[in-house]
Amino acid sequence: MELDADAVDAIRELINIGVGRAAGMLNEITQCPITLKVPSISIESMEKLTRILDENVPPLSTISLHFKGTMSGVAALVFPQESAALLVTLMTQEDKDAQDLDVMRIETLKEVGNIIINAVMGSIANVLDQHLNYSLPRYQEIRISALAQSLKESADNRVVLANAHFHLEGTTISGNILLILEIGSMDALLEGIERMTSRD
Amino acid sequence: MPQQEIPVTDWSEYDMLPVGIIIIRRDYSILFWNNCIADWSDISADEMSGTNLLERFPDLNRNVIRGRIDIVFSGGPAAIFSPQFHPHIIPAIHPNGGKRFQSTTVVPHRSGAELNAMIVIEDVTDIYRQTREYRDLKNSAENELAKRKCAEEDLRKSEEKYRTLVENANSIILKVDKTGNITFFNEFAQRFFGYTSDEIIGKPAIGTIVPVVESESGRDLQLMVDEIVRHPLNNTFNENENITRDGKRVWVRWQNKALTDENGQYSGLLSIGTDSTARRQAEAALQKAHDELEIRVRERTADLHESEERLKLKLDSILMPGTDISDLELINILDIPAIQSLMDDFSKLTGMGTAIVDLKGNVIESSGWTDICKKFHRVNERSARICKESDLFFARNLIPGQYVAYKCRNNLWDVVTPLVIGDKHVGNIYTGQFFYEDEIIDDSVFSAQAEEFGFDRENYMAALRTVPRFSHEQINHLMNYMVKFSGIISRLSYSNLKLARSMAEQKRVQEELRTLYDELEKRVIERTAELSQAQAAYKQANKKLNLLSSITRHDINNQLMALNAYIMLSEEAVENPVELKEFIAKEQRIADTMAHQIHFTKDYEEMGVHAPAWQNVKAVLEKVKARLTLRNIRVDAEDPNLELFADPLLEKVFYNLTDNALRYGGEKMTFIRVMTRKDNGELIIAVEDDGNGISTEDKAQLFTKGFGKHTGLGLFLSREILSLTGITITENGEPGRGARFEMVVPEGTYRFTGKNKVKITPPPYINPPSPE
Repeated sequence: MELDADAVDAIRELINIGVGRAAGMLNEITQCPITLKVPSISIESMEKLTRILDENVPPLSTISLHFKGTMSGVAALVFPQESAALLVTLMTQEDKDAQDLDVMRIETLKEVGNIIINAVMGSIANVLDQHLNYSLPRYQEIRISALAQSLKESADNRVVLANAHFHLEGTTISGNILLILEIGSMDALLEGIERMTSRD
Repeated sequence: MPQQEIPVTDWSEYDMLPVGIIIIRRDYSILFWNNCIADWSDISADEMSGTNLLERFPDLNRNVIRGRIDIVFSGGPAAIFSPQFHPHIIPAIHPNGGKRFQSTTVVPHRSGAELNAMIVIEDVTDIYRQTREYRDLKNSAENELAKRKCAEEDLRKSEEKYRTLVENANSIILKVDKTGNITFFNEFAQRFFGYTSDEIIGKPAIGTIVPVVESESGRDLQLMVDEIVRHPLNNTFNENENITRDGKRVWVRWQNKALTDENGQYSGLLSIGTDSTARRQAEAALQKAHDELEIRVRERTADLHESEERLKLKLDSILMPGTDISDLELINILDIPAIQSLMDDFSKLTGMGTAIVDLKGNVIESSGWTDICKKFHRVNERSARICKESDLFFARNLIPGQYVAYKCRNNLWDVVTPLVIGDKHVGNIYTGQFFYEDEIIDDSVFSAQAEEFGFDRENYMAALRTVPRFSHEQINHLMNYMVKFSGIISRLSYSNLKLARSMAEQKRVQEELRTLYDELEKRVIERTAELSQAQAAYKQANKKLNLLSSITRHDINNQLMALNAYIMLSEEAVENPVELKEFIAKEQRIADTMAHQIHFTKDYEEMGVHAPAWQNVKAVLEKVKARLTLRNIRVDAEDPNLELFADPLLEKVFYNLTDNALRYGGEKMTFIRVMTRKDNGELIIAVEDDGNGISTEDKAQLFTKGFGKHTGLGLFLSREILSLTGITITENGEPGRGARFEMVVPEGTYRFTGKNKVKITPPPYINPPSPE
């Protein structure tokens, strides 16, 4: 199916709904004001995505969730490693000088990623109105190309890329939410969207 | 809450796991509680099975936990609860104390068709603590590293700065080791000494840049270097001669500092040198100049001292009016420098030597004398004696206004004219040591003279050839000039002398006049003061006399009137002896009063005449009381020890005040008293009564002379008497409630004697305030 502008708008809307929920949850957990915004959502080719996110940088801090069912693929929240460490530091209100990602901080980051990805996948799953099977969330320092290769089937060349800006303690930290689908899964998503819009 | 039915399921393998596992239904009822969580929480599975998890652990009911678990129940992904945000999902105590830190994952758990949730709790307490320790260690290490980096950076900058400083310094900087070998040589040193670093490093300082022996002083510099290297602390500064590669000797001032190695052991010397060659040269030149100046200053000081002494003597002798001119030294009369300059020019013009010689043979001035005179005749003792003879000849045979030519026994001509100042011959003006043109000179005579006096014949004869020759006419003209010159000098000097003496005399007379004037003025001032005092005394005496006269007249007239009245009454009472006796008694009392008044005039006459004296106030009041009729009125002084320094007429004051009170106080008056109090060092004496008081209109003129119902003099006189020792008096009583006279006595004019020395009473009330 064609991924037209309306479909992209619908995906943007689904992600925004999920992120909005996640922001509320994070505020409640951390007891400090966090603003979570998604200034842009686009559908990029895998080639462009790896060029944007992989080239000339170390592997990214990634919290990923594999899913399987009507739609299969992996949803991930990715940050440059320093940004990931800083995000956890600010959320836990620890000393800013100590910013490396140790095991405890990774656990914390995993929960943050879990909240955001679950919220986004919850929105999408609602659209599909189909049950999906999920893996346990996982933290990795991995390149996007390697993440795509973790899929059982080949990845669709169309990847959903959402910029996510976390603003807290006067600092803005940028990350990305990725939705990499296996071939064919994008169609399932678009059909779900179409069903949803036609219902309206 | 009723226990729910628990399906029989074999989850016993979960009991084997080292993690806490809880399986709950959608309604949060607990299906399974494994051994591990039972162990941690100390709550058995039997106790927990079937109970509601949220009821047992209400904290889990929060949206951030329950909301996310609900999603799991709805088929959503697993929920992860990190130990950072949810450290104690199921609170449990760790064996080492404190709560267990937990990492919790909630996953869907299917039991047949039922979708439940499995809560997997991992104990991360140790990991949490280790991570904390790791973080602390890491932070500490990073801080240390940062500090070291800072320190290293500072050190690097410091070294760089040091290197730049040393290399670019405009000073010689070098290091030597303990044996005196050079180990460092900066760029400036290389330029200064002419050695490259490669050429000099490792070589001894001595023999390269330090010579073995100092050229100026002969100092052994090898010893010096050894001493500095061995004892650097004793040789912080030194200055020595150095040598450059091209052999040039230079001076350097060194500042030395001991260097230590990493073990703190002395390893060598850092020396910083400054080229002091120019300074030393300048110092030497300065010293030389200073020495020369010192000599010249000493010479000049001696000259000045001598000159000052001479000048002083000259002035003293010149200005001493009684001194005869002939007693004065010629040098003290003439302006020698001016004459010397004039005669020098004359000699250059004419080629003739000149001199001024006093009558004792002392040469005061000389110019242009020939070598035969200066180097031979006046030098040799015997030939000089002949010169002296010539001088004395002239001294005895000269006539003012004329000149005498005389060929001396040394066979040369002298021509002389006398120098007369005033009418005294004080010296002579010489020209001479010449030959006449027409004179034949016999060399043999002079040759013989050379032989006789031991002169070097050749030189003597050569000097003879330079003796000038003049014609008689020339000598005549020259000497006429000299005679006139002598006259001018004489007149000028005499005039100067006279003028100076006249001025000195005038000054002396002026000073005498000034002294006389000052003395006179002083005497006038003294006399004026005496006259002024006398005038004041006269005025006072006159005033007193006038006053005395008034008092006497008024008082006695008053008594006479009363006496006349009683005499008239007595005449009428001749037939009544009792009444007559009473009148006579009164007449007698009046007579006594008049006698007292006459006596008082004597007292008044003495007011201000006798010196003030200390007087006891109570005693004075007692005397007053004895002279007055007190009726039944109590008259008393409060303080028996009070004394006033006042005119001896103080009694008159108290008499007047008491008499006035008795006269005008009225029938109701019961007391007259004298009270005292202090006020800022002054003493206030109040004479007060409880009589009628003084009306407001009378108060204004109370102390005016002539005012009053009786003599009109009493209070005026009282004020006058008191004022003699600075005591003032006023009246401040309340009309109708009594009179109150207050005397203000200055500090120093009152005192308290006896035991009650400092008794001061509070301000008294004449009459207590009335209740209304």
